Amino acid sequence: MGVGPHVSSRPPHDPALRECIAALKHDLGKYVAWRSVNLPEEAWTGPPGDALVDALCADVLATRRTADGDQAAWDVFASHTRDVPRPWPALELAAVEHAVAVLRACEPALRERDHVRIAELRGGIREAQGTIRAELAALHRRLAKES
Amino acid sequence: MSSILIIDDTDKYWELCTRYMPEHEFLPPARNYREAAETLGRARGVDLVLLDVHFDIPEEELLPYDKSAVVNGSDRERALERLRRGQGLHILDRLRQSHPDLPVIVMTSRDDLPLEADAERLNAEDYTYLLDEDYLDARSLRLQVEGILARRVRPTASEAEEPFFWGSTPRMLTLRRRLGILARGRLPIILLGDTGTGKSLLAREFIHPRSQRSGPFVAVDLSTIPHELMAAYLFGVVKGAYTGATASREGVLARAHGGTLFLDEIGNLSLELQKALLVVLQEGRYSPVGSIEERVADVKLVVATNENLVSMVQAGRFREDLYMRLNPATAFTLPSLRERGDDFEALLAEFVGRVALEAYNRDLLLQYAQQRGLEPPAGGAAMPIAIGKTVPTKPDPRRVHFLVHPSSFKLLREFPWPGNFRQFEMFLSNLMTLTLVELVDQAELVEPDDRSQARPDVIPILPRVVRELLRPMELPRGPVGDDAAAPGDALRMTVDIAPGESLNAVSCDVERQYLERMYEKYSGDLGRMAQALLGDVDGGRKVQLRMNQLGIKLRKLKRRRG
Repeated sequence: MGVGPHVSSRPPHDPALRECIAALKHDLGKYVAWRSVNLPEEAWTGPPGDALVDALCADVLATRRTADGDQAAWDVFASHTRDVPRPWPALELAAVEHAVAVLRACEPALRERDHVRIAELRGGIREAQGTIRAELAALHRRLAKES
Repeated sequence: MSSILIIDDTDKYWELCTRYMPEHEFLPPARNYREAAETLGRARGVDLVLLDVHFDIPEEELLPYDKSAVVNGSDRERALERLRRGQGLHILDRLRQSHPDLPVIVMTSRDDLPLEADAERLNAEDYTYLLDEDYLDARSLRLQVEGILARRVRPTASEAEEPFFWGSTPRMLTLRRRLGILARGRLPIILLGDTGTGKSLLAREFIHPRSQRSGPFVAVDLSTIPHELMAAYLFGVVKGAYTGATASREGVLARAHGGTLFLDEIGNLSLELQKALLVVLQEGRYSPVGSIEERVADVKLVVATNENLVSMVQAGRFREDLYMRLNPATAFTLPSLRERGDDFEALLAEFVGRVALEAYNRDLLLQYAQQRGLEPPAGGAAMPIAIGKTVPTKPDPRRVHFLVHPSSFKLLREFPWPGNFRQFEMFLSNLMTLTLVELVDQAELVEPDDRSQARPDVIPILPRVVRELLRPMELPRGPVGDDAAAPGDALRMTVDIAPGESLNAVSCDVERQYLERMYEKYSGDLGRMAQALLGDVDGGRKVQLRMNQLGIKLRKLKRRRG
């Protein structure tokens, strides 16, 4: 993934970081695959139906709904990590950043609800969703143990 | 179909649940504590609550409503954000005060809880569940919901007709099931619980009929029998055994032969008679007073007490060997009325139904119905009644509806009821009598176009009447001055311990009591309280925060002091 140069070797014992990751895990990790995780397996392999497109658009383009409007997955990531120092204090954050970038690359296809392009991209989207969830859960658990 | 309430500031859970669990009824989501309390107060029979943790809601809706202790100037936004991130746990605390038995799934995994301390606390609660997994999917949520609902089985029609009111909470239904099993066995049963919780009723109406024994049910209240007569009363006596024993008499053991013997207030049994009872349990034999002849005892023994038998054993006032023979491992503790908050509305309906059948109230109801042009049933049968916080929109002349004003309901529900169900029933009987007498006496004063009489089938239960009847029953707490000074700087005070849903609930109750007492003792000076508790006169905010967390209303305490 080429994340090495972006990661600090500083041990992440900062309580504020733990709080930030908890929020990120909730607002991004929980909702980035909220609907799509319930899709049947055929939705990911067969012809891309409306259910798949609806679920992916909701999960990726409107990951967080606030009074000020919907936030896409990359907006949620950016707003929550605004105060996190760079290079990233944890390897997992670099992996999440990379996965979020994968999702962002799919934005045009999702906004246009382009079924054909989405069919091509869905495997990558699913993998990125899984990475975000797994890495945030692992990081959150690790920080809890270390604190 | 189960009725489920979602407490969440967004529609995400509601959309997920209605889509993947169409077999259940999902009430409209409550967006904050206030809405949740309203819905739970209004809706009957909510089976389960799904409670989100993060609530992105306006500050004024966030718990605690008094934020002075948790939100300070410099870090205000951060403190509010923390409150929002953990708001579900504040809501849970409040819900547990009014609905201790209501199953609640807190929509977070153990790892995601804001504080470790909360994880420990939530794990200790009987009806609070966390999500099994970090990230939720519909299938795993559904499995968890089904598992919890399966434990909350509603009583059958025959159960509902039993004289002992079981209600529908898992705790009571588990108690019923276990007691039903043990009733059929040969081992003794211990019933524990405060006065008025229904121990004797349960022994007579539930255990004995299920014991499959053909003999009679015999009950003895050992607190009412003089000590010198107790042996003869229990075991019988032969003529001439002592002065005054002019004839041979059977004891209750003989009378209950083949049936059930219920010994209430077992703690009153002398040590000597405890030994004799032990022999009955061990060998099934006894001798009447003054006789050398042995008799066979074949009884199902049920004993009850509101004392702590373990403490009595430790103090040497109760034989340990008898205690062990009484099958203490399966002792049943009947909850007090105040512990049955989840069933309160149903309990109210049940007991109002009972007191309406008492002769005097029954006559008053018929008199009222005749005066107001209602339609009492033919043949002198009792006038049907209903009770609730709402009434049907369409008038029904064949039934009297007691409409419980919200304030009346709150007064009834929050009263401590130290005499439990016995006191509750007497109170309701008085309430019904006084309400009906007032209405019957005023019949001539009612004008035909009086709007308040537009619904003669509706009788409001007014807070004024409830308050007047409750007032004489309020037991004043001991004055603060009673708290004796202990050695050094310590304080000594008495607290009331009552069985709770969990150890944590009991601890919180104790903590509430001593914080309230200290508040009075120190004239509301939180700094002095902090000095006494933390050795830090500047720790008043911490004390206030803790009091808020425990649901202690400082404003109320201030008013009380005033």
